[in-house]
Amino acid sequence: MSGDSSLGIGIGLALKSYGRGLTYVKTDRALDLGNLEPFTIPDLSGNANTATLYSGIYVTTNGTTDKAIRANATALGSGNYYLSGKIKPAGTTAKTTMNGSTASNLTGLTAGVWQDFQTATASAITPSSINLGWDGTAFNATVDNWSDVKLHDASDDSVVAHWKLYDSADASLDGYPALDCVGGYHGTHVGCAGGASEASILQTAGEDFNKRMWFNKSNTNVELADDPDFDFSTALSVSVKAKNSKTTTSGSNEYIVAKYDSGTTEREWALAIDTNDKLIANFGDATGNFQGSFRSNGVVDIDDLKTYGFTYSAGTVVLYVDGVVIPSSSVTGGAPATLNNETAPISIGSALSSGTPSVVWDGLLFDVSIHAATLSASQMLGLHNGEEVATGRVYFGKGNGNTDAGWTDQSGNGNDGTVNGSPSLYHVAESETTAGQDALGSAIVNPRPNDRVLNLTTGTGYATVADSASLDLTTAATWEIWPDFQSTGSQRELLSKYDTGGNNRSWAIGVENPVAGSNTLNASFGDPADGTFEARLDWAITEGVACYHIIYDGALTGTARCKLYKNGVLVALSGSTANPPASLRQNNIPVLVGGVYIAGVVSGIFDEQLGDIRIYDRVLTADEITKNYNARKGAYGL
Amino acid sequence: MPSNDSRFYPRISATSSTTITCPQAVLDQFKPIKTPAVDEETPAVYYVEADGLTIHEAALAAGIPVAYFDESQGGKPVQVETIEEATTVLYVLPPMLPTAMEPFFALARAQGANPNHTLLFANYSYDTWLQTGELPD
Repeated sequence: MSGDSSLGIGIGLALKSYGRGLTYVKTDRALDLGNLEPFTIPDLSGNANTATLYSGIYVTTNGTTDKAIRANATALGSGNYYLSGKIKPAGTTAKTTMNGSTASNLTGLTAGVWQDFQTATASAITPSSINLGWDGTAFNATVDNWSDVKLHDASDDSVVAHWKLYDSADASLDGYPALDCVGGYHGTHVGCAGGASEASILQTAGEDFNKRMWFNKSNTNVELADDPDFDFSTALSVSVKAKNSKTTTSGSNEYIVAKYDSGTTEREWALAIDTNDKLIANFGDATGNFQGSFRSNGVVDIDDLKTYGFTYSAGTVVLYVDGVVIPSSSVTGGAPATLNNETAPISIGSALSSGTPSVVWDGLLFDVSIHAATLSASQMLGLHNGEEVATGRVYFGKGNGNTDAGWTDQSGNGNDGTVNGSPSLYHVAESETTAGQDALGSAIVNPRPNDRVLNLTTGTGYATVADSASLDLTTAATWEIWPDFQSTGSQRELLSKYDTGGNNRSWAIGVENPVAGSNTLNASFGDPADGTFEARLDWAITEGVACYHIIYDGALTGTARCKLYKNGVLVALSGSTANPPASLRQNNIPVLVGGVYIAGVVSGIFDEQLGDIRIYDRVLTADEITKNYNARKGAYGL
Repeated sequence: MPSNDSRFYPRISATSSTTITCPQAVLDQFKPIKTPAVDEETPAVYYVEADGLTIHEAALAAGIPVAYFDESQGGKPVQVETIEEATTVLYVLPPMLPTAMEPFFALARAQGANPNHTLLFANYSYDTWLQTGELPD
């Protein structure tokens, strides 16, 4: 009996303690943003302060030559299909086709607003040529915007393809892939332009995705400074994932990766697609002049995502596509028995001509792996399959984005890449069929730790919470935020109710990281009477994910009115311009999550991950702050 | 928020498109390839003005998207399938530096045309013209 009783008491106490540990402070919340839902974030505080996500990237067709998607899903076979999605048309009609000849046009649309659309079911067709903005014979003749398009099998309404049209907000998207997150029926944007920051068209903020670099500008490349690691001598292997924007190079070489400067006779080696769409490895001779090449016997589909590579061993060269050896031939003088060794950098996405990027790649490049070794066929296949091969590895860059941070050397050799020019950012949305992967089959590099986190890393997303009486903070407040603050950059805002242009400042919480390692989190306040700037307080913080509580107590004096806790621990103030006001300004503008208003325009967008946003209309105690931290730290891996 | 579309559209009559020799300054923007590169020692050769390509031929050789319109009835332009049916050819060019637009303004001035009618801009004059046929002053 006593044993049973003790067991029962023990379990009961343990459960009670565990339950308390998981609970954060629920009283006096003005705002408590919960898990993401389509286009919104619910407010768990009971005040109905639901946040609206402004995140959607979309595609514009010009009505004369553009197709938002041109995709081939022939493999789905004959059946009954229909399309659905979001559109903001200039008129009341829009043209689509699923097989390139049967029009599936939309009528009765409302001009100038985003709305759902669904085509009629087309019976007994093969979806061989899915087009938006064109019906097989004519363009829609208006400038229309498209987002979040799905192809459905009408037999069971299942989604068989999903083009989020979220790939890029660039001014010109011609040739960019329109990625399918379900069936892999990746299409192409024909013409088209991008746009961003629309509400209620696609929940891109919050979702996982990978960032890639689009090598579409002249003078664009990633350089790896010359290093003794790159003195390859008789053994070298290279593997790169790539997708070109075009179906053909149209007579112009496009270099994938090269240590090859043709303007200064510093030719060593290069991997490229040649003028006839063949994979080619070029080599310099001992004096840095052109010696010869190994060229694939057949052409490659450059607009498909491929893994290109070659191995070199004392003059013997083997070319690979998707980890498989492809037939090739020696051209002119082939390759030297020992690789020439000069001082030119390795250039990803171009060759060099007197130090300037030349014959640049037009499209995506990522997962660049360079080895001072002759890898085996199985190792080259492993690289294609996303495995990391350590043998002789001197550089591995994931290409996660269009900044230097995306090209850091993952091999541990410190051969970090430097981005030159103004390349574009391309987003690869997450797969809807394989957890943890993007639509191109790569692992998600920086997945969100939980569903309360907004992934704002596009730099175009934010959320707003409409003004309400419950958000009128007066003389006491606590703001709780869990950002993953990593990159350098100028001032960006985490949470604000603050318009600098309109002299309508109340409060704003932001971060600034002009130089790596010199981060600050800061709180700014407006004059409660006229909304002019009153004070800013700074606290030095370190990079990484953390829980921050900023407390404000107008009953105190001086800078003591505002304090910062990081992970439940008080942080010393590192600077201030003046004392915070004795009370907070009541204004009528929305709370901005991930940005701040400048004369009504959303600015200072926080371009990283941000979650567990709570506002209390009182000052939490130190114990309560610790309690909140403990309640949620597990969700952030802290 | 408006689209980021910043393409521009030279709007040139079908007659001019098929009769005027493409000026070198425009060829420099189009970059039509005459013969592809063979290898590193034999680079690509581009068409030059002396080759005598018309504007339309140069655009097609360069892979520039073109659209044909019949504006003879006034009002909203009607897109047609061939240049033979068209009064106007619209060339679709990607966003460029303002200096890159100058050859097209010069072309308009040389023909005595209003430059604002010859070069249309997305999110501005192109959209209005496509909807109504109206051109800016």
